[in-house]
Amino acid sequence: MRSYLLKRLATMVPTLFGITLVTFALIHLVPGDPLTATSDMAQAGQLSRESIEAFRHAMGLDQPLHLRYARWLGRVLTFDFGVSTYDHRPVADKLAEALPNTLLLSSLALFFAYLFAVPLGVFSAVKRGRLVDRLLTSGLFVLYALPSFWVAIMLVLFLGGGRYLDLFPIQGLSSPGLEGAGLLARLGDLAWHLVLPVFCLSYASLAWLSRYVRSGMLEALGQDYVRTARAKGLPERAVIARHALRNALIPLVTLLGLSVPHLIGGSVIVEQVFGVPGMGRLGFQAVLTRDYNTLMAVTTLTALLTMAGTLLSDLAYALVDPRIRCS
Amino acid sequence: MTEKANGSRGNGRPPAALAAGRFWRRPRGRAGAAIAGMLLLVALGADLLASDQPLAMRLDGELFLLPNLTRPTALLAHDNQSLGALLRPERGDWLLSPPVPFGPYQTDLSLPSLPAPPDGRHLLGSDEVGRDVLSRLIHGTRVSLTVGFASVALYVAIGLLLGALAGYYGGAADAVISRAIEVMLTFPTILLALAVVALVERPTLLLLILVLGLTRWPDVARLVRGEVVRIKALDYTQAARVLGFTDARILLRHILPNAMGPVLVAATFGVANAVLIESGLSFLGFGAPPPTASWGELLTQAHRYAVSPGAWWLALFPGTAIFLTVGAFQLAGEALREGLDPKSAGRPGNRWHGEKCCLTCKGRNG
Repeated sequence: MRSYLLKRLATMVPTLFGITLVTFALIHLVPGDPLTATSDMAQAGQLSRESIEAFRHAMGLDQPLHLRYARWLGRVLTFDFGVSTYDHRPVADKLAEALPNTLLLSSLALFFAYLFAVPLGVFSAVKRGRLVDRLLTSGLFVLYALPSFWVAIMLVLFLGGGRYLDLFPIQGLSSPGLEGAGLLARLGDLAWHLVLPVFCLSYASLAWLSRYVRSGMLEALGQDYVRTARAKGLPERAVIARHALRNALIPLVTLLGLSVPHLIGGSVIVEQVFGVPGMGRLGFQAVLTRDYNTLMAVTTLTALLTMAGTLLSDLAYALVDPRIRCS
Repeated sequence: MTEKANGSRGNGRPPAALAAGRFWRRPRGRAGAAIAGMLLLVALGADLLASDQPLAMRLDGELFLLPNLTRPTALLAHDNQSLGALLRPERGDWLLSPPVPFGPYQTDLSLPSLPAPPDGRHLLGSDEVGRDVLSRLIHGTRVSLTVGFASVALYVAIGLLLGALAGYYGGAADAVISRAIEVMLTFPTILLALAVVALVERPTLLLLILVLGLTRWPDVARLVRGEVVRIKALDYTQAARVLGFTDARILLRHILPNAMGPVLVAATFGVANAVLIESGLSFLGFGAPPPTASWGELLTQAHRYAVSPGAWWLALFPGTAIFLTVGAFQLAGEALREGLDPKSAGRPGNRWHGEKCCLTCKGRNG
């Protein structure tokens, strides 16, 4: 197990290196730099040539690409992502602000997805082939094919904003003017803000997961040990809960780790729609302003989380299912 | 040869025909194929369905046939509405307008306030500059399907090539390609696509296709690599090698044809995914360049006008279009997978990792 872990960690190094290299190359090979993106002033001639050159020099933009990459990589190894070329704040600070919001959204979305997916999937499997099962299966398929950013817009349109129903706030994670309020009031406010974005992030995973639960349950229910459990007279409830479900849940452990990148990636648009200051929005704004340092940091961090998720799910799989051996 | 040997159970019919039969027997397959086929027809016939020019007209003794396609200079300054006002039936003038008599770029200046809700004139309403939503939806189908099919074709080609090389030759080629696959799979695709499209001065539809095609090949490459490795070990490949066939012949004639099933399934799911990514990028403002009609762009407007005046028609209709397209290709993909591999029936997702997931699908099913 330990040697497997070491081997996996070792292969992550070149992968991560490759990711930074490709991102760096792509971002820098495309013509234009932060100045052409952000300053209409430069075009309008309000910035002198000298000050533009001075800025480029200060940001290291006038150096050859490979030197810039080497310097960037060297600094990243010490978790120094440099300063934002947009607002000159340290990128690490920006990440530290954005990451918790995204993690909060993602973990809540995952929690609710699993909370509903497991009972739905089990119910569907137990009622296999009946009308309920068919309706559930089709309903979940529809849910799965609904683009989340469309759902987000529809929710903003109909449940927030005031034109139709004004039930939920549609911007950010907190209401203005609550800074001095008590902890409970602020938590309630946060929860209220989280309802719509969390729903948008979780329903697709829910649909996807419950289909896994259903098929896992169907497979488990057809196994010999389930027949044995039934033959020895166990009540159906116990057969399902203790014998079938436990085995059906094994693949879900793997999916948990694999959903991590999915959720972080999916948050780009959902965060944009709901104005949540998270990683997705940070990355999007970095793109808009050609904020190289921030963009590099966001992609690297996302890739790192993705790899960690994959590794964790592989390890968890081996942990839960003794038949799987890591080698 | 091999196909016949395998197909003995199906009365000698080739497995492809058996798979097609199983595909059609499934309601899901028929529904998916029907909707996808309909969308394809809409995309191909967009100019016949919705145009600012008539299908045919006679004006002052001159007959114009399909001016909506030929765009004769005599009519260029006109649209269906202004031409209608010019008609003088007593000299034999007539006009046959398309079902939707508005072009995707045509602005209706007679509307009192914009965006305008659906009415008898604009059945699905109009957008912020007075363009007909239905017309833009119809022409947006073309954009979505073009990006969907072209980018998938591109990445399937890349994936086939790299996957076949890695799987067949192994060794150093395999090591390099597998590492590249892993790197690309870990990428936050949407950010990468955004970065490239946003950084280019004038993004085009072609650029969008290239970006999607060049970032999403690893799924197919990994799949093909696995299949090639599997098939390479089979007896008939060994036999082909003993017969002294060249590598190219073995790969192209014996291995790849038998690896195409899963690739086809992945490609079908891939179209759904590409349509989703295209509309997502367009929604963020980095899809097809304006004023191109695209579903995602209508959703951007829907978001802008969500609070006031609550322009539900800008959200409901394009969203339904995206949902139908994505859903149709997913249905078809599932039925295709079950048709090719009956044992997979009822299993979720795609055994071959081609599944739609989110805008940032990074392989696995994740």
